[in-house]
Amino acid sequence: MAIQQVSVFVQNQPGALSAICKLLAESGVDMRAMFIADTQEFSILRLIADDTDKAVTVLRDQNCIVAINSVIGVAVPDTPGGIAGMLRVLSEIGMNVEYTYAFVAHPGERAYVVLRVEDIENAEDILKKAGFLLITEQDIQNL
Amino acid sequence: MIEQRYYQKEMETMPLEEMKALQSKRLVEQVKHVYENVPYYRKKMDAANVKPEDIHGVEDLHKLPFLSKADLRDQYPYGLLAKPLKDCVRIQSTSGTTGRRVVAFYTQHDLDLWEDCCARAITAAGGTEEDVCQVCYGYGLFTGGPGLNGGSHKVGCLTLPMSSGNTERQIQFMMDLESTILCCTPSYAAYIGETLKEKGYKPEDNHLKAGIFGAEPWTEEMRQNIQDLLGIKAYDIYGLTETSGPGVAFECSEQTGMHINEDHFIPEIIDPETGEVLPDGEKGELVFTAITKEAFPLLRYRTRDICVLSRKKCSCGRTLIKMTKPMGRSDDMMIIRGVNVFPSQIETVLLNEGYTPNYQITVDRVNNTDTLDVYVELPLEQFTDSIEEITKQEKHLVAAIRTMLGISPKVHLVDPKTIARSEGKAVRVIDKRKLHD
Repeated sequence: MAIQQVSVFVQNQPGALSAICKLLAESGVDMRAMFIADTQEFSILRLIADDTDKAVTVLRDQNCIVAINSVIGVAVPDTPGGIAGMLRVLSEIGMNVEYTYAFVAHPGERAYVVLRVEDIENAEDILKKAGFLLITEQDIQNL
Repeated sequence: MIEQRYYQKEMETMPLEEMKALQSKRLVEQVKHVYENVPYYRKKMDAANVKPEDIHGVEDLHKLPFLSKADLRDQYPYGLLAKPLKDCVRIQSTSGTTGRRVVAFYTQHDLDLWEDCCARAITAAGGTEEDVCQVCYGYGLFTGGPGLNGGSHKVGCLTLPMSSGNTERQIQFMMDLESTILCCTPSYAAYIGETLKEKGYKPEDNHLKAGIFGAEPWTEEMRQNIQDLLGIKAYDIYGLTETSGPGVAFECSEQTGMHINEDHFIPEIIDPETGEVLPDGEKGELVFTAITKEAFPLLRYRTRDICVLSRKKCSCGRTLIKMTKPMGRSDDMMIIRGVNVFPSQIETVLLNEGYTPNYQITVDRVNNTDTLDVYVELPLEQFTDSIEEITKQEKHLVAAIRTMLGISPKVHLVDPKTIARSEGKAVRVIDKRKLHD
C-alpha cells in the first residue's frame, strides 16, 4: 500500500537544487510533492514523483546520490484540524513520526499527507481502522 | 647600541676558516662513527662507492649519499640508531603523523647539545638568568616543549613549563609571574595576543619583551601582527625532530634570517631534482649533516624545506651562516597547526573507511589559526534517507582523520564525480594561506 519516495542528497551550494529540478523537468518527471531537510552542510530532498523509476534513473545517470524508500500517504479532510485528527490516532498508540509533509490534492476537499514512520504496516493498519483513506501509487499518478 | 650577548660566544662568532676546520674534523669522525655503527647507511655508502677514508673534510661532503624521510620511515624504529640503547636516555617523535612517524634517539650528550642550541636562541632573543621564560609549546613526544625548556634552564631563566593550550591559565601565569619571554607556535602567540586584547589588556600591560616562535610557517605580516599585539620582538626558530628539534637555527636581533648552529649541523642547498649542490645565495632544498650527534646522527638529511643560505655579515656579530625562512617544500607535506600532514595520509583514511580516493583538501588561516577542510565524495551505498546517518558518517570520518593526523578537519560530503579525477597530477590541495612568496 505504501508509496515510493525518492530521496536525493543535495550539496549545500547555490544551484545544487536547481540542477536537480532541471534534470527532472527535462525528462518530463512531474513532482507531486517535495520537502527539503537541511543541515549546515547538506540537504536531503524528498520528493514524490508521478514516475518514481524514471526520476531515479534520470538522477542516477547524472551521478546524483539517490535512495528510494517507502512512506505512507494518507488522505485527510482539507479543513482545519484535518492533520491533527490523523496524528492524534498515531500519538494515542505512542507511534513516532520521523517526518511528515503534506500537500493539498483536491482544494477544499482533501489533502494528502506523507508520513515516514518505522513500522509502516502497523501505522497503516491503525489509520485504516480509524477510517482514514490510504493513498496508493495509482492515486499519485492520477493527480 | 645594545651589547650583543651570546650563549657560546666562541662558536657563535668563530671566523669562517676556523669553523670550516672544526666542521671538517667533526665530519670525518662522524662519518666513521656512522659507517661503523649504522649498517643501513654503511650499505648506502658502499653502494655509492664511498668509504670513510674518502671523507677528509667538508669539501668531500657531497660524496656522501642522501638520507630522506623515506629512509627514516623504512628504518623505524632502530635502523638508524648509532649507539647501543643502553646509552640512550630519551626519544622524541614527529608530531601526530602516524603514517610517517619518525622516532629520534638521544644520549645525554645529545640532549646537552640540543639544549645548548636552544639556549643560544633564547640568548639571541635577549634572554638572561633574570628572565621568566614561558614555554607553551607542547611537551611530550613533540620536540618544541622539551627543547625550549632545556634551553631556558641552561640560560638560567625561571622556566614556566606550561605546555600548549588552556589559554586562560597561560594568561594568568603570564600576568601573575610576569613572564618576559614567550615560546610557542606563532599562531598560538597571535591567539594569546588577541585574547589579551579582548580582555582589555594593552600591549604594555604584560611584561613580555621577546617571543621565540617556530614549528610552523609564518610570514613577516604575522610577525608584525604578533609584535604589535604583545608589544615584543618576535624571533623565528627552526628545527626538525630528525636533526634534534628546535634550535638548529635561530634568529638574532637583526631579524633577517636564522643563524644555523653550523658547529653542529652542516647545511647544504641542493637542487631537489638533481641532488646537485648549489652555491650560497641560490634557492634550493636544505640538507643537514649532524656532526656532533651520537645516537641519531643523520648525514645529508634532506629536509624538503626550500630556502636560501647567506654568509652576509650580520650586525649581531655572529658568523654563523644564515638561512631564510623556508619558502616552500619540495614535497607535498603541509604544516597545519604545527603538525606535518601529507595528503596521502588522508587518502589512506578515506580508502580504509570505504570512500573513493577522490578528495580535495583546502587549507586556510582564519584568525591566525589554520583550518583544514576535506571534501569527500559520498558513496552511493552509504546514502540513506536519514540525516542522522549521514551526520554520523561525517563525524566518524572526522574522527578517523583526527586519529591519523592528530588534528581535526572539517569534512564536507559532496556528490560523486564532482571532484576532479587524477589525470596526471590532480590538484588535491589548495593552500590559501599564502605563507610563501
